[in-house]
Amino acid sequence: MNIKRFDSAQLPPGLALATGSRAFARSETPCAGSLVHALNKTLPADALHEVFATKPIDRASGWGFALLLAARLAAGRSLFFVRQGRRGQGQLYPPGLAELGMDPELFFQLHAPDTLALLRATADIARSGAAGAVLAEIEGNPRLFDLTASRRLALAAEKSGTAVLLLRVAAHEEPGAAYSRWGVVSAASTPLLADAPGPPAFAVTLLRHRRMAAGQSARLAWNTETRTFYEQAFSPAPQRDSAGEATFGRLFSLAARRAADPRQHRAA
Amino acid sequence: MRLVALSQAAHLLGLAPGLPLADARARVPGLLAFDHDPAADSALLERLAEACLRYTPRVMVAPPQGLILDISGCHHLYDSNLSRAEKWLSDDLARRLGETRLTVRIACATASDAALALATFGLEEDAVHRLPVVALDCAPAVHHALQRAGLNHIGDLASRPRTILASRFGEDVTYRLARLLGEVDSPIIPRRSRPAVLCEARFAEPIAHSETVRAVLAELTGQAVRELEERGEGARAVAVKLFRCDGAVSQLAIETAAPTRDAALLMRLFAERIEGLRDPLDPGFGYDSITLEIRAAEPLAADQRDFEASAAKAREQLSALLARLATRLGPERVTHWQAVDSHVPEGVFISSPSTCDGEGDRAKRGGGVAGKAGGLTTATPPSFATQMPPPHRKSMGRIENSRPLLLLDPPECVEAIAEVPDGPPYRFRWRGSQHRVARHEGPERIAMPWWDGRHKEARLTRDYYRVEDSDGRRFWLFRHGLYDEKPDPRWYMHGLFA
Repeated sequence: MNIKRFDSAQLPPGLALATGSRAFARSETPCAGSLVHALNKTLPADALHEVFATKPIDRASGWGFALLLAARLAAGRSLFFVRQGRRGQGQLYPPGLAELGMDPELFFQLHAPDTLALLRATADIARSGAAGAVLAEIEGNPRLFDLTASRRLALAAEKSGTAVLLLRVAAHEEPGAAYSRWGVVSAASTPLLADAPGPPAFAVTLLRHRRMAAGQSARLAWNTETRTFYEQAFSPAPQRDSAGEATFGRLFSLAARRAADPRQHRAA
Repeated sequence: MRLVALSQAAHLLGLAPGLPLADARARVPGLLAFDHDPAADSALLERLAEACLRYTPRVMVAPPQGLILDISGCHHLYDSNLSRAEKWLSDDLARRLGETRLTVRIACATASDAALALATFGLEEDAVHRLPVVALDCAPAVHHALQRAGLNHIGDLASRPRTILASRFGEDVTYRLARLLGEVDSPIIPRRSRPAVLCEARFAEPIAHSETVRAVLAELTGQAVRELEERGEGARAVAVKLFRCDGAVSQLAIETAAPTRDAALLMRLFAERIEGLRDPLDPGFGYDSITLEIRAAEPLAADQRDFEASAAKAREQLSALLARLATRLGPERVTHWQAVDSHVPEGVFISSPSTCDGEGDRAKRGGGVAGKAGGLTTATPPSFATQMPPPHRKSMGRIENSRPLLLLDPPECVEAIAEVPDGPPYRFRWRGSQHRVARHEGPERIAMPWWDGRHKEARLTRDYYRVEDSDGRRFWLFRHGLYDEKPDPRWYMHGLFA
């Protein structure tokens, strides 16, 4: 069921890549490098990419990461995003987009009545080639979005050069034709002056990539000026003791501090 | 409950509109009463008006129960003699409406007001002078005063000097009298303005084959496009009407994102529209005429190919894509944002359909071509860039993130605990899970517009806080109301940051 486990963990990086269908179409060599390099430079625009926000509460982070990626891949052309209109999920807020360095004027939004219409519209936009990128939000794992549907989107992207991004909220991984897959969870930001919350930060895991070894993860932040991702220097997360209580004005030893380091939690 | 309208039989029994239902029941025990449904009435009237377009393009709805048809310039199509044409038209209308079991009264007159009054009071032609003064449709007190002065008919008024009438009963009476008598023009506001281009095909035999219908449609589209080309215009909104021989009219309307003269594109949009119909087109016994009208057209210069071809092609592709999506999903589902000059967080943008004023206007704005009339557009249109930076947020020359990526509309109520009453939240519960605030910034105080006559609850000042919880998720919370505005203000979740 879970293809990602198979190709990334057991095989050496070069071998795992031959499983993708495009590996034969293009002469692809596995590219080493960091996630930042992949996101900023090498990720191809004419492909299908998936962003997974596993928990619904990470929807905003998923949207943020996917939008930034879409804006980079669209390279100044217009963007479409396709959603299924449901209440209570929040709507994209143009001033927020503008603050991330995107131009809200370039966006067109589509509200699809059902999953079928959503997939059809996404495929139509991808096929026409008029837009730079199309970003569709798919909630859960609908039966209609199967391997065929995902392959169709990937082919349309390849043919027209329109990047297709799928934001999968509350979904688990399934076989698909995506070129890359990213898992996104929101991460603590680098605080600003007076301990104010800082710019967006994402804890990103590469779940699958045609030319890179999956499984890498990094904490990324977005630079609005250069419009690139950068790896965030680790900033101490708000400290908690074992009972989960915030430690206001309490003294603790260095060892206790290390135990609370989230990086070590993840490695464990 | 009172009676609103009555059938003829009920009128003959001595009942009148305005009578309480209980009284009416007491007088006529077997009375059948139905709930008054003004919406259904006006919908029926609209449908009838639509059907009357077969006689003249200028049809006006005169609520609650009238239709005015302007037949000037149309009668020669039916008979060279005016009165014979009128007779034929009235008979035909009466017959067709009679088939729908409606009670119809028809009157012809030179002035539209006079025709309506004659039909309302059930008089035949040229009897304007015998109309009661109530036909003036002034205030009831005026009618009463006129009747007390012994002026019961329009004829009585018409024969008297107007200055005296005006000084005694008011200017309104003489104005309405003049309109009834046809001395001043009573304008008709037709339901639909004259289309830019109208093409029509009539058939000797009704056609029912969908292939034939499509062929006719293609031919009409070709005609319209040729006409548009001569005028240097492109179509923005096109409507096709299929008149079925039993009187039903079905309509297909499409809109395009940018003016176009591409017949193939229009045909594709029509095909998309027909495919998307909830109940497919039912030709019944066949269509006896099909009209295609260009409802809205905009200037479109003859385009020169191969010069800046790529940019023009991209624009064309985009507008074709938008038109196709809007036709399939409905124009209200394909939108883009427009900035609004407002400081209320949820009011800084509206989503407007992309087909209505999308690419064309934006392209014009971008290209530096003046928009509408020069004198009207003095202020620059609001843009998202100008809305951004509240001055105190500019630190180190860079705008920090002060607005969320996802906005919850309406805001969701959260249970929050603050350390001090007017301080930031310490922890809060949202959608069933507990969040502990690790970092915060605020408040950013946003007062609601006092000049809006809104409900008091909606005018409370909001104190916005940007908070980050211990898991690294960022939220936009506000406390609704200051402590001197409201004793126990509540907390709301308004947005989520990336």
